[in-house]
Amino acid sequence: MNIFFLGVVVILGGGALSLCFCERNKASVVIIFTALGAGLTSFFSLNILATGIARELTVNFSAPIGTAVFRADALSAFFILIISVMGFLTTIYAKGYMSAYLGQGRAFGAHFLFLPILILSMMMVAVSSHVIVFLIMWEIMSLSSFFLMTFENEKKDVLEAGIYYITAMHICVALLVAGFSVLSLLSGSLDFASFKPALSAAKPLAAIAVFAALFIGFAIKAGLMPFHTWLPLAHPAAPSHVSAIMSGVMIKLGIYGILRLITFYTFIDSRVSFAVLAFGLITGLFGIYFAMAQRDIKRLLAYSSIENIGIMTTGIGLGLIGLSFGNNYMAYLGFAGAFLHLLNHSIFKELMFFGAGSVYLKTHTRDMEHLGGLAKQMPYTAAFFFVGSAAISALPPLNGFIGELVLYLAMFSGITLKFVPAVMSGVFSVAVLSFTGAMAVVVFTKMYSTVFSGTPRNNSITIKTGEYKFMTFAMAAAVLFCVVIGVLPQYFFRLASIPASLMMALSAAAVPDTSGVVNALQILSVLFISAVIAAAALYLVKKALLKDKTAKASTWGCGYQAPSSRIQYTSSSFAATFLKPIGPFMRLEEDTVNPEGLFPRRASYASKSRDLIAAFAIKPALRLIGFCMRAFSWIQNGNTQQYILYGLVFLIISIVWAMGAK
Amino acid sequence: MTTITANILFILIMPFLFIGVINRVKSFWAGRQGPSVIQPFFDFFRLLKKGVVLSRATTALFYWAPIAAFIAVLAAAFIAPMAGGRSILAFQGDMIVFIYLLGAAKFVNIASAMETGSSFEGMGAAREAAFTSLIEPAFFIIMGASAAASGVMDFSGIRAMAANHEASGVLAAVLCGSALFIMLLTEGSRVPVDDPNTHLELTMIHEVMVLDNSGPDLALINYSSALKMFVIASVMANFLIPAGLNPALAGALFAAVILLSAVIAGCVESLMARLRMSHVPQFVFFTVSIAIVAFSIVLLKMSGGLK
Repeated sequence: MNIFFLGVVVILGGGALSLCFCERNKASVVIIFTALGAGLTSFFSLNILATGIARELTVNFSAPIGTAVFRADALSAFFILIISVMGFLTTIYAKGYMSAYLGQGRAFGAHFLFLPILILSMMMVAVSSHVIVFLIMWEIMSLSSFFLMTFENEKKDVLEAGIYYITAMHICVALLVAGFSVLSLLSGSLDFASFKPALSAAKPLAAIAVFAALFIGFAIKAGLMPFHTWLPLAHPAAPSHVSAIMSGVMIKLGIYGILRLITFYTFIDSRVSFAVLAFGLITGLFGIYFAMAQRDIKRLLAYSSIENIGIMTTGIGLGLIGLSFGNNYMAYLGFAGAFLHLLNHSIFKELMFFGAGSVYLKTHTRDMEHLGGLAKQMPYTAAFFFVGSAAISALPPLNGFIGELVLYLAMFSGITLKFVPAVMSGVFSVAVLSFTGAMAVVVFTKMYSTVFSGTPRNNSITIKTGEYKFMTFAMAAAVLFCVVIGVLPQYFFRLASIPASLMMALSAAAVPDTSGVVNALQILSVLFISAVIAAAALYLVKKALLKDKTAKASTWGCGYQAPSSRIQYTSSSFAATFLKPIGPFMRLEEDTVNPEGLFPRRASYASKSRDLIAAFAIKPALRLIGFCMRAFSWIQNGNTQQYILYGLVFLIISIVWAMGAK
Repeated sequence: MTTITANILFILIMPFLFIGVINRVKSFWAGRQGPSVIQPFFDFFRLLKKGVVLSRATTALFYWAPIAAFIAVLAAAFIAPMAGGRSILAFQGDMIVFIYLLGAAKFVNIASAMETGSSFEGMGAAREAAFTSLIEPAFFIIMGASAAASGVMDFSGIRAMAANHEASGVLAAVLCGSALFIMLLTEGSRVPVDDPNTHLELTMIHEVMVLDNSGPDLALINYSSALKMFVIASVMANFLIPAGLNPALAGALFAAVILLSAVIAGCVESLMARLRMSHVPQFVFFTVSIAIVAFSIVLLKMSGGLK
């Protein structure tokens, strides 16, 4: 455990030391110290994952915290590993990305102080086993990410998004405080370890109520529907590396919270398990569905994160259903699939946001309708982005597929149970997950193609050629992870099965024999590697066949001789084919001016998609809360004398109360 | 070993024959003599000898795409069960890998079509992406039905479905087979979803996506497309051929069912008009409906509802 805290201190030290350096060098300091610190923390977590021995450290703080325990088990270690590696990649990318903002008198110092703080606070969340320490770390995580995302705070939409984000995070914390308070009242202790006996002795209704409060709290952080509305606002506003770490790593802490919450229970009601599964499937399906209609690259990626969080929650739901039906195979594969997908998503989502950031720096727009043909200016980014798109659409031979394969196996093992509820839930989730996957293919082909393929759609956007070294390096590393996990899946399945075994052990369920899965993954590994080699060989054959038989010409326009780049399919027109048959579910705000008369002067059409849940559930709810709160506005009226009066009244009441208590 | 040889022979020969038979049946209905059934072989080698014209808008992705798509479909063919239910590679969850490999091929094809920046190819790509997205859920429901009936999580469960010759099992298997036939028509871009012979770009799906491909690229794309139809047909054939036959008979029956499905596809193509574009999603959704019916039969049987 000392190694871990040393690592944390080194990361913090990097942030503090960067304050002493000039703008240009801050990033390098942070990179070096994060490399050292993350090296230590990943060594620590790998050690726990390899040996399976949990580590503990008890620290005596003064009141009100008291004795706090930091406990790192396989579950914490798995998250620490992801945070360390992906956090380090983020700092590398940040150096390249932030170099575009040098010399503009911006708050670099704060930015490079909060970046390491975000990384270490996430790690601390994963090891804190004491309610107050956990909540403090949780809050540091939310606040540091808030300061990071509002870097361009002179822009109105950035500030608005920041305020929305911080509000959502505080609703989340309020629910967590409520849930944890009930838990510590039940157990009489603030230590996480005391919750399990307390909950098994508690009334079932109380146990479910606590589960609901904490689950919703963590779901807000994770971005499960219908609590996802902060994500599509926050990610476009943040600098790209901040979106990357928030989407790739930070929202996973919400999933960590849900998993930690499950470990508090010895038995989970099957209705709760079905509810978790339903949350996961609905989030997955509608996340990718809303992503389809987006034109803003980062907004699209935000919705795709929501989808992937849904897939992870689906895995957790399958795990819980397996446990409640006593099908350990399904439970184990469900959890392992969730962990594997979590690892994979942290990699390819960072990759995608890195790519989106590079595109933004080059073109200064995130609107896909204005982009196109970027693959010629930035071939590396295009290639990496393509791999990322294929990985996130869960296509073989890349990592995204492996996680979903394990989840599908969990579902199919539910189907083979010959027990009607399990069969029904299995087939339903298989159908929904495969439709989600099919939509992901549409979304990401649309995204890659409109940004990188074809020709530029808007010639007023000027593009500097050349790519940024550090950003390209960070993307290359992420691509390498995607490919390695994809072609050597058996090792990473084993890695993901370590925390999955822990989840099984905590519910006192036996770990099933998964040699069938390992065998399948080994065969796949051979198949994928030989497929890659075969493709390379075919490429050489094709080169030889086409030697001096290759001509260049313009795209075949079917006889039309003057094609312009404006006639290309755009992201909206690409998605329209899909969205039209299911129109009623997707409300488009349309603004049409039809051509009139014989010599029409002007005609225009503009459309904007909106988030149905944000429009019809969250906004009315906020309006209602705002209306109720206005009734209290007289309390804060800006009159200093009145505030002093409040203080006096408070003092008198507390003195009277203290005397009365005696 | 014999399985590997037999399956590789099937993979090499059947896709060409499949197309050849469809064309021959169409010419029969049109009252023409028509090309020989091995004409697709000659077309393949003729195209290989030609050069390519690349659009200036394209990048390396366009050059790699036909290869990648072909390799993905070929890998799927290694997994697909063929004569007697035997495949070259069999493992737990092989049907998941199978459909995702076909999905990977689709992904690459769409990205490649969009590379050219042509509005026609964009249209074809968008349609392909939209129309085939319902195929995967249907396929998974079919596989769910076979897994529920057999209790195993791979392609071998297909043959267990009708193994006892019970009416319900046979009915479910036939329904699954017919859903897969619609899947074959959709994925293979045949009538009534798409017309491979149309000469109006606005009405095409798959054909319009490959407008800018020529020479060896086109040869590979045509072969991949035929191979994709063949592997779907071979999964379908496994639903329809009874289990437990001797290998030689099973092999002959398998080839016969595949060619028969080509004949039926040819008849459909000759006797039906292509559906209006707006009706295509409904037709594709039909596969989901059939799959759900097949699954319900299995479920009813399991819960004791069917005697």
